[in-house]
Amino acid sequence: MSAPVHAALAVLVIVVAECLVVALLAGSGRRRRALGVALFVNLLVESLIVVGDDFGASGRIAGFWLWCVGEMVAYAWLGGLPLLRALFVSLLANLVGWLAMTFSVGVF
Amino acid sequence: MNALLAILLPIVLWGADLSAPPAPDLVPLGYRKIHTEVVLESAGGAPGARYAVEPADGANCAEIRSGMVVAMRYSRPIRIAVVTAGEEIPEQPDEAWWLGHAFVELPIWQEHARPETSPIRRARYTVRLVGADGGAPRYEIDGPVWLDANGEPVDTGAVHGVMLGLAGVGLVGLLAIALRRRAAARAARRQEGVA
Repeated sequence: MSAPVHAALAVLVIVVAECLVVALLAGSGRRRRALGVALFVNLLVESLIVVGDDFGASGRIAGFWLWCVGEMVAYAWLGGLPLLRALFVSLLANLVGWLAMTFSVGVF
Repeated sequence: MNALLAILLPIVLWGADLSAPPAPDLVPLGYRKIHTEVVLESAGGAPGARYAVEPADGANCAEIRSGMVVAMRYSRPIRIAVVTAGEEIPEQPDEAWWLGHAFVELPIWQEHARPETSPIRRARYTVRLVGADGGAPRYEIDGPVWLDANGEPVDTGAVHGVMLGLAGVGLVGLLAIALRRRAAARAARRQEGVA
């Protein structure tokens, strides 16, 4: 498998896993909107983390700021979730996403 | 928690890029350590010279062979010393042995970590011994070359292209959601005004 395909698949595994968690936790009234935000914000953040990492420490830090703060703010502001719930959803979604990625590493 | 991570993780990651060796277990969630290897390309160097390298074959010290792959370790950098003809090279030399020889420390540290999503699995440096400088070995370093799980070089430009494409889709999608939300809020205000 070529490296770009590998990276794209890896990002998609995380995005799908995180979207599933968001769909479960967002609450019925906000589910559709939060799911849309989860899909796009994760595509943006996870992809930029891979790119940023190749630019040394500052790239990594930018990626992590996006990951930690950007995701939560996006869930709260665009997804319509209360801030605390956004934090909880973001944490759990990331945990499940990274676990999914870790267990699927061998597949790629 | 996320705010705390946002403050702490950059500090940990910044530490990963300093020249001092990073602590081996400081790998953040979602990252994995990657294996770094150093290939000693030519054992020629100065004519007739012998060199010793540590670590070689695990943590031991050994005479340099051309094409030798040296494993990285966290505790200290790779050392290369000039040894005299016929001198035995101890497997685990102490500090006094090193101080009794002209040696250099290669400025290559174990790469800390890569995101789980990165196709990069290994970094390879090539070190060529090109002579001796005041008794100490002189060298040239090429690399790092990033390798995937099969040992093939990773085309980082192509990976960046695909990743930036995905990031672009994400950005456009988020913008679309934000604009829709703004339009909906405006329509609601207008409705309120009419009412």
